[in-house]
Amino acid sequence: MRGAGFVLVLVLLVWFGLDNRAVAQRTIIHEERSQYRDVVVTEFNNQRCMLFNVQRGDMNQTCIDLRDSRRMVFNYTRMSFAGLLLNPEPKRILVAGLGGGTIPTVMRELFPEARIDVLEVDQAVVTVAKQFFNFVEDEQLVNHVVDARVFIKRAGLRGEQYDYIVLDAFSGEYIPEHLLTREFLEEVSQILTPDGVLVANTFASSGLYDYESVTYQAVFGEFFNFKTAGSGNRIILAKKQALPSVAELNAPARQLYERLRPYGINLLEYPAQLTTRPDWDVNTRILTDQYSPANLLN
Amino acid sequence: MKKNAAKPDAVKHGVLKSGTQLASGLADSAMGRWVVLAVAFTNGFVIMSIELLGGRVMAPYFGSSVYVWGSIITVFMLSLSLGYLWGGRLSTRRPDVRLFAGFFLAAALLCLPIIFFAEPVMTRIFVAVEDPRYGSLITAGLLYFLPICVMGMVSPYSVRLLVLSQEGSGGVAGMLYFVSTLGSALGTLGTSFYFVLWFNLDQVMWGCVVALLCCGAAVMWAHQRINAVAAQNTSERGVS
Repeated sequence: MRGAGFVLVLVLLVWFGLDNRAVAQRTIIHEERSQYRDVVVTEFNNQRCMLFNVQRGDMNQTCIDLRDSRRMVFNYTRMSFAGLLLNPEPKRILVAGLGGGTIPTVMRELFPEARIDVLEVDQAVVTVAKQFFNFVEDEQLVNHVVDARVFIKRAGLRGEQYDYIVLDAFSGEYIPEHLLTREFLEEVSQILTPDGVLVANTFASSGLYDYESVTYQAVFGEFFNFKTAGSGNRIILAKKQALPSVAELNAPARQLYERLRPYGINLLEYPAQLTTRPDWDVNTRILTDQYSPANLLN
Repeated sequence: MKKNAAKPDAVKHGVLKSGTQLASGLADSAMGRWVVLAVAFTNGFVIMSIELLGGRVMAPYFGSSVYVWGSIITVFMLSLSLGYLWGGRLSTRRPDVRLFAGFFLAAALLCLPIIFFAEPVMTRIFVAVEDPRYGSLITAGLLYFLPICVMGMVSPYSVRLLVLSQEGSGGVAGMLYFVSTLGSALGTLGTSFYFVLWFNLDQVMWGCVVALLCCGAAVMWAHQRINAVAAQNTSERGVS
């Protein structure tokens, strides 16, 4: 009995010891109290990152490179700009999920004429993004502290439309289940212009992959699936209209290549990696407002 | 004082063992007591199951932010508190087993609007109230106040039905809190871990409605069984 107790104590000591060491490598420069979870800003190796739930070893939500703020640290952030292949000149942009504000900030630089709405449910994330991640609001780029579903439903009632919508509201730890359902995607579709594009950043390797895929398929029909080796993310590119062929995407890729290069985005590589071929179980149950146990399926 | 003086001493001091004055009949038989405990358990189970589902019912209109849960928990606590108050008051005069069964029938019927009218109610409130905090609070009040209030009445009323004596009252109340809160714990766990994975929301709601109807039926069945046995005993005694 005492031996077992000793081993348990030893295991716990080693465990916490390792844990502390992993955290100690990073310097915590700020902690922001939040209604939802504490938001922590760390710096390590010239990267500044925003983290949720540090105690549970959560991964980085968003990072910036302190030496070159235009370079994007995460592959999926770069991948999300593949939406520009389907709509190269967006005028009304909606981004659900702020993070460090990288996507809206880059869109603001690329398309100074476009009007951009950002939706972030957590005021603490907005505060930290402004203070530590160079996120700046102006008359063209407005952040709304609101649940994405509520904002989009209201926008639909007002008859507002966007020609470029990015869904990036999944933090990995807890999945907002009401943002995965068929009804939600129908509401998104309602505020999407006929030639608009929906860019959804989702998971490539979780138990949800099949469920998400069939649900997007049910609402938008065929969509482009964009995965790259080594990235845990996949990007869904969907339109209300029929999709163009992959070959037709080379022209916009060439057209935008130079403008996106400073951000480390090689748009020319993207068209060949898009596919409409299902690599999921097409008989999976569709997620609806009646059935969306996303956190249990994950 | 004068009224009390007219009663027998045993009744005055609340130590009467036979159930005619203080209890209803259900407390007289082991079967009746088990039925009361079982329906109290089910009632607790259903309350928390409906509360857990409430978050999912309202998320499409008001999001899943903390204040939506704040609204739901506030309305449930308020409904239960008033239910306890009114249920307790109703029990003081003449406890009636048929009324007790009626609580379950009423609760089941009052749950039906959650299944059939939640969407139109929420659509109207969503349009009328911009702030999702108050939108969710009003919705939770409209959908959940009445059924949960009636389910709250069950608890004090079941204490009244089972208490036979003053010194036993704490034990009876403790036992009823125990089973109903245990039911609440299992209702929370079952709904959040399993039911939402196996069923649609409305299917779980229908399960709750059926469970409440079964509670009412079980109470009436036990009541009639006990009455029938009592009548038989009386007639046998009359014959001998």
